[in-house]
Amino acid sequence: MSTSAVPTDAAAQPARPARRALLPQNPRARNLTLNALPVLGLVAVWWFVTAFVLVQPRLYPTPLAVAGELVRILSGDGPLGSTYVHAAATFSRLLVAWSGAFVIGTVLGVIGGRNRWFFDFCANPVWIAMAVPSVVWVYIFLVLFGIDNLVPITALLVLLTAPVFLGTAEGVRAVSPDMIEMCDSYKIGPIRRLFHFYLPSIAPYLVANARVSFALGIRIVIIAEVIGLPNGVGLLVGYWSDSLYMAPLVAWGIILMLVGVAVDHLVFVPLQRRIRQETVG
Amino acid sequence: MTVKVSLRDLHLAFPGRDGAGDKVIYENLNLDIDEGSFTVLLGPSGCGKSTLLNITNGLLKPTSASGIIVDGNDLRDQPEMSRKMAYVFQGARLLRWKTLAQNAEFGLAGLNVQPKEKWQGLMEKYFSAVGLKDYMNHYPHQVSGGMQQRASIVRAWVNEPEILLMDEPFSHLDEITAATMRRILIDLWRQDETRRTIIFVTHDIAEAAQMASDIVMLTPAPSSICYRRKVDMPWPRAMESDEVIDLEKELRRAFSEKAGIRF
Ligand SMILES: Nc1ncnc2c1ncn2[C@@H]1O[C@H](COP(=O)(O)OP(=O)(O)OP(=O)(O)O)[C@@H](O)[C@H]1O
Ligand SMILES: [Mg+2]
Repeated sequence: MSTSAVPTDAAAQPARPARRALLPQNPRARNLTLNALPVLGLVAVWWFVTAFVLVQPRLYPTPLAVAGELVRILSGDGPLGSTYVHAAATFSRLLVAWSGAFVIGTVLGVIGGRNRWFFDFCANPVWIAMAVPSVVWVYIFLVLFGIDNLVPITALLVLLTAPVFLGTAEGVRAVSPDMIEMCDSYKIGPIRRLFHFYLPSIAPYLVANARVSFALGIRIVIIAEVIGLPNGVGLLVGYWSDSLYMAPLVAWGIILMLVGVAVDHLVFVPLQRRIRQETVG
Repeated sequence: MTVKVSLRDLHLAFPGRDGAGDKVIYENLNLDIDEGSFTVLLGPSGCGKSTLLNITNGLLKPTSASGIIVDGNDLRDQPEMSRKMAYVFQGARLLRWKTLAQNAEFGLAGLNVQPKEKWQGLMEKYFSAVGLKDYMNHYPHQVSGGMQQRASIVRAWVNEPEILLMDEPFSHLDEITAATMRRILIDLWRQDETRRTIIFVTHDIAEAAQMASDIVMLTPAPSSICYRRKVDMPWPRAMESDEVIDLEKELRRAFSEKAGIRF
């Protein structure tokens, strides 16, 4: 036995109480503390800098000012009508474009994953969609369609379809040829093959695609609204940025971030976990 | 006897890799399979047994052939001929997100077995026959490998196909499970008054001797039929019976003399 060299339990004991004092015992609470600590640290630095170094409240708002703006936004108060109306406009645009892109990208991706010719045909447009900055896209669509709901929704749809397409095609390529042969042998038709075979086969890829495109979508929809739309969160962001008043801007940034994190943890992470459990089985 | 499946002048070569010459699998292969026979294709690994089933099922096109005939029709002109067949693969190849019953139903739907009202009854009949009635609503990962393979046999058999293509269905199983499965398969096959045509691939000589009504032996690729015989022995055949052991000996001898394989 080699355990003789390892310190005994008794020797290790004294170190423990010190750690106990710093972090809570409960693993959940400990996790939360660990997550919160860096944030609190950042806020502290932020406060210090804005209170003593860059004392210019309009440009460098203090945490307290931003907290005040957060409360104002959450109460619905804003310069251009209820903040909730704007948030709803943004969110519905995002939802329509994102779900459309998800469906189109997935269907095209399944075809692309199976058909090299189709994939090569789509590859260049897809790379163009992904490589050209979203701001440029929004301007192009603005010129094409004018100021309209079509602008952000089409722009978003095109841009979000690209990564979904690539992710799906990759997933389909990973599907076992043996299983495809089984489907061929049993003459499984295209519809049944899509819904009962390919989509379940690539479920983990689907969730990953949904996740990535949702996060990307939040960013692009705001840009589109800043540039050319009469309502939405992006309009408010543009308004505050034009008036060089940063506190509400930062507050909106925090809200968008929180929404993103919340959707990820409440929808995508549990979904991914469930799928992983089912596929490990 | 009527010929059910007939492969005429089959040629198949896979393009060679890295400038190597083409890999020739069949050169002018001819094979007739009698209706209602239990034909065992016996051959060494890599000789093209699975490939032969794939060609018969229409999954793979040969380089050339003057005929791939099923019931008098060329499969290439009438692809729907392959709906008369169901395939049991070397592995179970079940969909893991469907129960065993749903997997069987997947095949029924694909091959479009009519009327739909019959499906439930068919599934119960064949799941019972292989001893899986109580497991129909289990998922593949909830049952053993042997049970999965039985479920895959049910997936083929529920269609009540005229032709069953079976590719080493028991080679992944332990010998005890495999022995049980062979008995179940023979019972299933014999219980129908009009016997289905079974094309059964194996490289296991004992398995061939125990089950076949017709044995076709293939040489290593480029493969040709080096030996063929009918077996007129009733089932169930005991593995240790003299007739079966004699047959095994004969097959081994044929393998070394005709296919150049030493044991
Ligand atoms: N798609 C392919 N491309 C190139 N070569 C192939 C292809 N499919 C099969 N082969 C070759 O054809 C030969 C026959 O393959 P096949 O799978 O039919 O063998 P088998 O007799 O079933 O062997 P086993 O008993 O190991 O299953 C093998 O040498 C294999 O390498
Ligand atoms: Mg094989």
